[in-house]
Amino acid sequence: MTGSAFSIGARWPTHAADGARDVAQLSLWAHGESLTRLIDLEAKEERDYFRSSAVSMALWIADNWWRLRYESLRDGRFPDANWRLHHELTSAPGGSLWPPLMFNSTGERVLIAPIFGRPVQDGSVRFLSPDVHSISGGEFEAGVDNFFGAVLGACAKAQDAKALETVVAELRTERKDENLAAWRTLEARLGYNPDRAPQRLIEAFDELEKSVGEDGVNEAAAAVSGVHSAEVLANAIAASKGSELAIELDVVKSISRLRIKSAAAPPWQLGEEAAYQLREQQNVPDGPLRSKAFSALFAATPTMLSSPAAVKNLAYSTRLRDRGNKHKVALQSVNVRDRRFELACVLGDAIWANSDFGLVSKAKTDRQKFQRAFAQNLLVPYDDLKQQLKTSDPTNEDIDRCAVTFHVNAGVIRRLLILKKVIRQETLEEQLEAA
Amino acid sequence: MPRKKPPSRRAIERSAESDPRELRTPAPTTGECSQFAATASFAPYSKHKKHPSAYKLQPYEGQDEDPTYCDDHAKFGPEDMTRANDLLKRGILAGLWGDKLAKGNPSLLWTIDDNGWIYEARITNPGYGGYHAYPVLKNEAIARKVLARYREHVENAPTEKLQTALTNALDRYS
Repeated sequence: MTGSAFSIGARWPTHAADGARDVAQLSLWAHGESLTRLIDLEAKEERDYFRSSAVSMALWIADNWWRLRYESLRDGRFPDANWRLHHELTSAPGGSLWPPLMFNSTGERVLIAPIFGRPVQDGSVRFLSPDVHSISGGEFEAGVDNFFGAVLGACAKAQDAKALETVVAELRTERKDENLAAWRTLEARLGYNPDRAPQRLIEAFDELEKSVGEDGVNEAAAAVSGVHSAEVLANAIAASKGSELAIELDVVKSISRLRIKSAAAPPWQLGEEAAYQLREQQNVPDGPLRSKAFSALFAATPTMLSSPAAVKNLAYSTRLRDRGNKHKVALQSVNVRDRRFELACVLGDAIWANSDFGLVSKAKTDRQKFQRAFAQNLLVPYDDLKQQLKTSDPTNEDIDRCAVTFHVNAGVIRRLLILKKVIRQETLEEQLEAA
Repeated sequence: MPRKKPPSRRAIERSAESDPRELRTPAPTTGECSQFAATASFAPYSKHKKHPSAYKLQPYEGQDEDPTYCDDHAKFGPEDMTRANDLLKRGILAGLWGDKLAKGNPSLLWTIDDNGWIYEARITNPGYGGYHAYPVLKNEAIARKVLARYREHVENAPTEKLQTALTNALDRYS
């Protein structure tokens, strides 16, 4: 429709009378693809737009703007109703057929994707399922701003236009002032609507930020939402400080961050590139990463990495710089195989952010996706995996066998094969991880 | 980045057609529910009927929209209309009230039919308790919240009919 990466089209066949509900032909577009293509079985037609009130949709977007822009999925599971009400367009005011799309922030980017669950088969109008699209935060903001401008211009006297004008003006004020924006951003990341986060919670994070930095707070908020989230982070920091596991991460210093900083590729691809670089620079032999070589990456011994018990009930793993070049690490996993993966993620995290603090969670932020891809490729280089598999159509048994060889969970092999398009992405969660 | 608490968002009145979908929390008391159930009423709206004449309604005169339809989506036919008021009261008694008010009435209500379909009712006559309704589709997140509250209600006051509706709804919206 337009040359921009993301746009929301609105066309009013008839302008709404003063105070009346507007009805527009609405369409969403990303990278030239219509996200709102539908089939009307009864009219025997396909079209790129649906018909509803642009003002109502703009109000829903404005009400949820901070969460759409900044709140991530916390893991790969079906999100809860609270998350869905503020991210899925089908949660806009009822009685209209809204397109089954969700907005999911990954930090700097926003993914626009089909919603979780099976498509609705009732009724004679069916939306087609679009691909997952990644747009930058700036592109999201520009697309939405243009839409707000168009709606306020065309519907100045329509029903609810005054409410829309007010919310958009408040939003503009909040975005313009970086201190107000910082509050709203953290509030949204923690899963709260505007004005709903307890002041004490935000202040607790302000305090914790002195230890873990702004990025650390952002990742913690993306991993665990709600009223206990600051307490969870404080516990994780304490667990790191008290951990007997101290490692060095000096090997990451030689890895170039240029492509990461410029977001030159999707996080999974950047993670893969970094893993290959590290293996090459550290002269790691091809094939499975043996315990001794793996430990050497952390200037540790295999016993050191496997012996200290994990800390129970941690919501995520953390690393915290200790004295000199040592980092203290608190891991979630008890199982040695899974601890290896977590440690590889810790290494990946140190590549992504040259910081004193990092955490490893299941959240769908770019930083976490990068870590996971890095760990997958460090432990299981794809070329080596191909040699082990000896087939282009692997069975579950093949995957299990390779998981034993590379000393990883079978899920690691499976995800790698999905990212390499050897096996098909079957779930939306897999598509989101690859975006 | 230092954080500064923004001024609270202003509550500008908006129509029920743009109200956010959220259940009132805490749920209304049993007394409130009984009182409101005695006065609230349902009247059909042709906008949410694919075939309004079958319901003896005038054709919808507004602009072409893509609404959810009682007949096309939920197969709630003209013969079901006699049950509509009872269904509305079922939702009111179950505490399935929206958290916004329009002249003292909840702007939104929900209810669950015996076959498991959830309907959202929107105020038609604020202040007079008149509502129209339309089906909630399977992919709408509000269904989860409605089901959670309805389950609590059924567990506290179980009857075979309410239990059947719950079982069917859990199946339909799973």
